[in-house]
Amino acid sequence: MSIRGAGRNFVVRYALEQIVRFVALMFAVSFVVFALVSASPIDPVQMNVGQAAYMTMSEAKRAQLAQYWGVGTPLLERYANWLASVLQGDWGTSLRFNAPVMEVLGNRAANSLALLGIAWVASGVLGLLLGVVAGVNRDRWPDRLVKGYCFVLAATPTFWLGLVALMVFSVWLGWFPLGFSVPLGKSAADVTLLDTASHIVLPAIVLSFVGVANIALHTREKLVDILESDYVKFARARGLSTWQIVRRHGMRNLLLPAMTLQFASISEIFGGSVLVEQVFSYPGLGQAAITAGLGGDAPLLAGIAVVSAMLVFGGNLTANILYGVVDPRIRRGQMRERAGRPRIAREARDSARVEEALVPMPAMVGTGAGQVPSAGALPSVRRSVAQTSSAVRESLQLGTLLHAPRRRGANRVATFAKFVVAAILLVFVVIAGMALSDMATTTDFSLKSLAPCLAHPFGTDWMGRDMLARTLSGLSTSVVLGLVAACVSSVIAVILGAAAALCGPKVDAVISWLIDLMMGVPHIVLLVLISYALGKGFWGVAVGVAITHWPNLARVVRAEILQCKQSDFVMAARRMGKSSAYIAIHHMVPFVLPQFVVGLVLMFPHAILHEASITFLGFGLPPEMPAIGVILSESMGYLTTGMWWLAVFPGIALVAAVMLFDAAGESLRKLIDPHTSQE
Amino acid sequence: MRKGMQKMLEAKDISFAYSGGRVLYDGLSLQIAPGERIALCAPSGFGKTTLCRILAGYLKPAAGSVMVDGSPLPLRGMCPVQLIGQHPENMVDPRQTMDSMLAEAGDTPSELLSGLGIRPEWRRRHAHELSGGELQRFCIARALACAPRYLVADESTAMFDAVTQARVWRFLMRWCEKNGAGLVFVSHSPELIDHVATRTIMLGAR
Amino acid sequence: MANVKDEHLLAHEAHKHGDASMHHHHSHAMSSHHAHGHHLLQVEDLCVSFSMYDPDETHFFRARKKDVSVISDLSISVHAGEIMAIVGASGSGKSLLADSVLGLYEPNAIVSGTIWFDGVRQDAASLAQLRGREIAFVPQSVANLDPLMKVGRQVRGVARDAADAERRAERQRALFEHYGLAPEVEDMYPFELSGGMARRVLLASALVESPRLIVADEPTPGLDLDLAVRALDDLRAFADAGGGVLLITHDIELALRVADRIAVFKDGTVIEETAVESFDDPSQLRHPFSRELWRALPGNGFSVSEEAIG
Repeated sequence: MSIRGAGRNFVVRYALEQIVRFVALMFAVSFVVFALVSASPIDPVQMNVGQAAYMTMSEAKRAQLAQYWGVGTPLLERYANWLASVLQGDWGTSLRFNAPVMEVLGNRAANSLALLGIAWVASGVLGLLLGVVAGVNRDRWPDRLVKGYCFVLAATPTFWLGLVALMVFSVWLGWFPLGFSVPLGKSAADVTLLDTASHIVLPAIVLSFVGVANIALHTREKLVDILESDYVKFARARGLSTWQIVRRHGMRNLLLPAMTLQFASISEIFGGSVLVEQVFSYPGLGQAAITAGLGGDAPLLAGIAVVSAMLVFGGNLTANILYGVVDPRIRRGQMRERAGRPRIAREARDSARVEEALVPMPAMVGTGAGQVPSAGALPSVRRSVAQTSSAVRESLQLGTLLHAPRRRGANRVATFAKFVVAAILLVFVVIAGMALSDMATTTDFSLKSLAPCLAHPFGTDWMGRDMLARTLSGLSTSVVLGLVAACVSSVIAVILGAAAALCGPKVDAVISWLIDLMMGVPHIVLLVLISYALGKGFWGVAVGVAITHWPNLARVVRAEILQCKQSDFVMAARRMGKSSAYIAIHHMVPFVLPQFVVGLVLMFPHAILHEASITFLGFGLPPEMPAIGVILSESMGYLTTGMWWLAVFPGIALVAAVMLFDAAGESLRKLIDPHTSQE
Repeated sequence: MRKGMQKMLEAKDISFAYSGGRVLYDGLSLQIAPGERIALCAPSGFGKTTLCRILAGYLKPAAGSVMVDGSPLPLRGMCPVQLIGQHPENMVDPRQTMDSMLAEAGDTPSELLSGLGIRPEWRRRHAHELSGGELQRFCIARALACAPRYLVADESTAMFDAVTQARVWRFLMRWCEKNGAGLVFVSHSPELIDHVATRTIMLGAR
Repeated sequence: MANVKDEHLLAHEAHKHGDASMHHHHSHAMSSHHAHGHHLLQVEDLCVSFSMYDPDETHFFRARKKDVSVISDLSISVHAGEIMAIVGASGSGKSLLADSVLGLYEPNAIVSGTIWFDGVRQDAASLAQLRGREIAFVPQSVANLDPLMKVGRQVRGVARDAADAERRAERQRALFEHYGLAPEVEDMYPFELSGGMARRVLLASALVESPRLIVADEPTPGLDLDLAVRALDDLRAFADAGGGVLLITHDIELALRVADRIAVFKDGTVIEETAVESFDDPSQLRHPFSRELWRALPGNGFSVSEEAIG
């Protein structure tokens, strides 16, 4: 077979493969949506009609509504009906909006896509710039600045950022309108471009901020890796300056991972847009998802879930294809492979799979929690030190001293102390919150709406409740909830990750597909669905958060165990007669444990942020159990009244708590990773 | 099938191909008797390392089998063929101390350690705290502590300086003679092969 | 700054150099000559140590940072027209010597010593000027090439202006032709090169700017003997044309084949610098370890002494 023919064949096979995967994904996503909605104990009729009307309604009317909302219809029948109509091109009717799903989606898609598009591009460009600046100036002040900025930003919940932006720029300064996508009251024909633009600016900026931190940190890590590579070292040996190297070699080698990152961020940005649209009352897909989610509108929800899954899948696919086109090892190597020559291309292609590239998950702290502690850590003094090298410093010397040591990083004891302090502070917060829970719910109308003062440092709310107590109590609830959910999640992750790695290719295929499925739908959408299915409330949130966080960690666990399993030292142990049990306990567990622990600790901030987000959206805890999200959501109603302390202090407290977790995770990672433990 | 009572390490009709389709061996056979020291020679990239791994049971050939004294390599228990690889940092669990690594092989007699020049204070260290040469000595000690019938050494002394290399080879040769073990090794140095090997096998180009 | 001809050096170089006379702690080989009356490269009392955590301390937190010395008081010289081979165990720090000569230092390295190139005393900044131009580095493998850039472009390097770019392109083509590389190789990527092609490409990249000194770090890892010897033949040709070569290797047999002089590296320093002919007769080797080295050669029967290895 000619090389041309072989190439064409490969493309056809690849395309077919992708189509099959896509269709399977769409089916799975839509079915899951229907299943979750049907499983919910919530009565959609009550939800959508309202208590008062429901009470006064006649039996016949209730039955009619029940039928309309699909209550009582078995799941399979509902799904089959929907599927049948979809195949004919009709995506069903949105129960909530009482209009065809296609129409609802169409109206809102344009708005969302504009918002998403702007934010995606802006966060990509800005993230890249910041990441490069930080990476090139590693450990100097630009790097510290960028890292600090990103850490804070990554700990900030999107919706709170939106709240604050709204407060400052729309209410206080009046520069921008107070939400929506067009001025209220204007007819469609009169809406100008300027109008549209002024409504989109603030949401777009807020949404961009979300993506920037992630991308900047990851880009920095990649650039640092590149600058430590052998070929950069050789380029230096040829006399190139640092900037020449960055321009000539850095950007080129950064392009592929940056591209992968960019396309992978689609999922995060979509999730962020759900929150942003809610805060700014921006009529997009995200807001529709929430309306549908809160109301049990299965057809609309399914439609939105499918669209978002399509976006994410499309993004990953594009990234994979671009990788194959841009990377010469794959482009040329593929053809060679068919002709029977050595295949380096295989490794390059496998490492290019977007899904694998997402493994370094806790991008929030962005320093390779997914990176493997090198099984091939070279023992000589020279190499172990080389791992920690950074940009060469050209220095003048005095006398015979040719080079003096530049960096003396924090020592181990200091790093451990940092970890301990962060942990202690967090424990303090939880305990304080629990102790103050009474005070948090005590209302005293004589003290209502007080601005911050000595007696009430965080002010009081409209019911006279002390905001400091309320904040601490809410924070404590959120932290505990996040912790519990994250722990449950990690147990699931370990079990499934280990099973995928150890139980043979069939189990691996199933679990990997499950992971892909869960990562194909943006977290928030999934959270909304699960929370709804469980009837909202405490358990809805807890289980929802637990179920959405395991895929990433499971991937890490699976990758680590696989690498350990295939390593030479495990083979050697087997050849010495050691049983599988022995190898699992003495080799695999110690191998996986460090990355697992770090991944777990870094999962907490994610869990907490997500939990705050979902309670903010209204899926969460009852008001008697104020979590931070609830507090912030309530404060939204008082935005225009000038009671800024209702939103600002709780938000800052949340950011601080998340940053404490990040600090703990970072310190732990520094201590455990054998590369950095030499710094 | 037991082939009489002849003691040997035998590779019968080994076929192996990379998953991309590139064929490495097709029907390769060789035999090593105890006490022999066989040098494997082949041009670069010919897959000598792969063959070594197949002989030691680290890889399964697509066809054919490796037999020790007429029976195939055991799947469980101590394997009578032990491998000393080229990259010691890959052969040792980075989280193990050298002591625990040696313990996995069973009892390690102290003459083994001193004969290879291993200092007692190195035993507490981890792999990344030792140099390549030091680590490789531990790998060799571990392989020998298993009391194998056959040793496969894949360019195992490339990282030593000439003096250490000489001492290690001398020790290895004596150990093999004393224990009646067979040795298969790969090396690029013709002088080394001349001095150490009792027989040379040339793997032809395909 | 660093362009002053050191008085000390000048006076020193005024001695006449005999063929095999002992001078500057080394003996000379037939092809060593002192162009312009001085060594091409001279390193004196080089010390390199790193600040790192004490590896012997068992308690994780009590481990203090200490300065671990890797190279101490190393002196070595390379003459124009010769191949000087440094021989020592892998990972023992020889590569750090290459880095020091090129002026590349790890950030936590403490480096002191004196380096003269072509009679002119150097510091880190001037070495930075020299590297890639007068002092060129030949690395080990294609791993040292950018995997995403065509090799032709990489060999040519960075041009200062259009005229320079022209010159480099011509030089690259001439070099490829000289080493028998087909013109298509220019458009290949590193992963497409075979072992032999890679070796020649790496050498070409060092020669593009017509250097005076080549530093080659383990240029023949795992190569077959004849491929390795061919690699070194090219270096031999370079030396014969008047350049100097500092060859860093762990393979003493290879070094004996191709070098003019040998420096024995052990325990962080050069214990002996001598002409390669000295290795024909161990009594000409001064240091006991060098004699051990001689005895260790398989051809000489592995007859090293018995005591505990260092």
